Amino acid sequence: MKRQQNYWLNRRNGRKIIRRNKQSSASTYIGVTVTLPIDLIIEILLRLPAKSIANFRCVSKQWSSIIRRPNFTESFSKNSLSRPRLLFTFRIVSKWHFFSSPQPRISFDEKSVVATDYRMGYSRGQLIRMKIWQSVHGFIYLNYVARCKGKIDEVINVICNPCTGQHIYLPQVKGNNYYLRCFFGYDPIGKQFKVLCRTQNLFEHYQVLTLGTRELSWRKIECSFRHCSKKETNNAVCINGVIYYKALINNSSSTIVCFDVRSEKFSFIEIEKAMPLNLINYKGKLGVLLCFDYGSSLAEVWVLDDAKKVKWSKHTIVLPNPARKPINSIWATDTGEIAWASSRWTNPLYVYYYHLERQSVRRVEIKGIKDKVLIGGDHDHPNNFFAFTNHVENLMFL
Amino acid sequence: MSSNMIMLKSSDGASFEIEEAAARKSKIIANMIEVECVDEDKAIPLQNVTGNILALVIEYCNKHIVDDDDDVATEEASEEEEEAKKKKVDDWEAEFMNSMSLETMFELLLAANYLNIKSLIDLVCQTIANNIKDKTPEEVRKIFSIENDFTPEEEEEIRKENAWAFG
Repeated sequence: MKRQQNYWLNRRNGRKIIRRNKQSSASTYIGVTVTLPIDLIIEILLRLPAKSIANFRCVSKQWSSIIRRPNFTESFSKNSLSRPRLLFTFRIVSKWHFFSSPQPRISFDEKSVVATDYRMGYSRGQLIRMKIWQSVHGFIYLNYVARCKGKIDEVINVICNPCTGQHIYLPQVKGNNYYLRCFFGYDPIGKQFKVLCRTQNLFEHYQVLTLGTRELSWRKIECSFRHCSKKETNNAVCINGVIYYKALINNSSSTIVCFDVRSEKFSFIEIEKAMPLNLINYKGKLGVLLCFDYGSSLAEVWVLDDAKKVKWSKHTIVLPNPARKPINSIWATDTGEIAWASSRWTNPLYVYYYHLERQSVRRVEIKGIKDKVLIGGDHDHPNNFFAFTNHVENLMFL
Repeated sequence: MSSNMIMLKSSDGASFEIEEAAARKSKIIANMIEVECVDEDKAIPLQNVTGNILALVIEYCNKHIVDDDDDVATEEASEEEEEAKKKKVDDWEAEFMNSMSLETMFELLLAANYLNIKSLIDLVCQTIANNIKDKTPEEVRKIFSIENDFTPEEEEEIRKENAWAFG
C-alpha cells in the first residue's frame, strides 16, 4: 500500500513538522542497498585525504582506474588547494617521517588538531643532516647528507611528494657543488615544476631543470646581475609562478631576487634594511618578515602590495615569548596569519599563529605524532624538525 | 518578506509546501519556475525522491534560504561576524548530518543530485568521505556493494606500491 502522508512545514509559526529518517547505523556495515552512479562516487573520492585514496586503489579495478586518470588528479589538487594542510617532517636516525594535519581554522577556534601519518622514508646509510624547503604545490625539495661506511659523505638533492611517495633524484650539477643552492618552483600556467640552481666558481652560474621530462638535465641560463645568495638562505618562497629568495648584490645591499619560473627571467627588488628577514606568502603576495634583533619580540611584516611599483604595506607585530626560541621557518597561512613552530621537537607540540589585523596570538596543539612514532629514549628522539603551512595534497606523478 | 508557496510531491505521494525561494535552491525546480510550468494549485511531482528524503532536502533548503537573506542584509559584516555566521551554518550542517545512516546519506545524495542542489551535494559527499576515510578497502567494498575483481597477486602489487622507501 502506498503511504499517504502529509508533511507540512509551517515556517511562519516557526514550527516544523518533519519526520527524520533515523535508521540504525548498524546497517551500514552490511552494505548500502542504494547504488551511486560513478560521477557521484568520483565526487566522494575527490573529498578524501590522499592517504585514503592510495588505500582505496585496491577496492576494485574501476576505482583504481578512476584514481589514476589525469583529470581526477587535477581535480583532486584543485580541491586540495582550497583546504591547505600543515606538513610536519623529522628524522629519527636514518628514518624520516612525514605527518600532515588539517590547517586549524581560526573560525572554529581550534585548540588542537590531529596529524595523521603519511609516509616513512629511509635513506641510504646514516642520515647526518637534512634540509627541507617549503612545499610547492604538494612537492618538496630536500637536500640531505648521507654517510655510508667507507665512502665519502654523499650530498643528495631530491624532489619528493610525501603524498604519493614519489621521489626524484636531481642529476649531479656540473661545476663546483660546494656553494650549490637550489630553488624549487611551480609555474601554474604551464603546469610545470622547475628547479633553479646556482653554482659558483670564479663566477656564478645558473642552471634550470624542468621536471616531468623523460631525461632530467640541467640547462644553463643567463643572469645579467651578479648576485650572491646568502649562505643562510634556507628561505625561499614560490608564489604564483615566481621564486623569491634573498641575495646580496655587490656584497652590499640586501636584495630579493625574483625568478619567473615560466619565462626563466630574473628581476630584483631592493630593500632598504639589511637585517635578518624571512620571505613568506602573505595571501598570495610576497611578504617579508623582519626581525630586529635575535631574541627581540618586535618584528615587522612588509607586504608587497604592488610588485611593479614596489609598494609595500608595513605592519609592526609583537611576537610572544615562545617565538624567541629558535625557529626553522616562519610562514603565513592562506587566511593571513603568521605561523611558526619550534625548530626542535617538543612535547606537546605547538604551532603558533599571529593574526596581523587582530594582533592576537593563538596556539594550537598538534596531536597524534607521538603515539605513532614512540618517542622515548635518546636514540629515537626526532631531529631536524620542520613544519610547513599551505601544503597541498597532490596525487600527480612527475 | 512575502513569498509564494510551492507544492512538491514525493514518489510515495507525500505533499510538501515550501517557499519558492527555498525551492529555488534546486536548479531543476528553479528552471521549472522560470519557464512557468509550475501550476499554483498543482504539486510538482518528484518521482525519484521519497517523502523521508524530500523532508530532509526541504529542511536543508529552508535553513539555507535564511542564510542567503542574511548575506544581502549584512554586506558590510565584519570578519568576526562573517566567521561567527559561518560557524553557525557549519554547526547546523554538522548536526543535520549527524546520526544519519550511510544509507540515508546515499539516498539524500541521489536526491540532491537529481534536484541539482550543488551545496547539498558538496555537504553529503564530504560527510560520506569523512565517514569512510579510515575504513579498509574490504569495508569500503561492502559499503558500496563492490565486488573485488583483483586477483590476490594484483591486490598485493598495489598494496606494495603504497609502501614507500628511499634510496
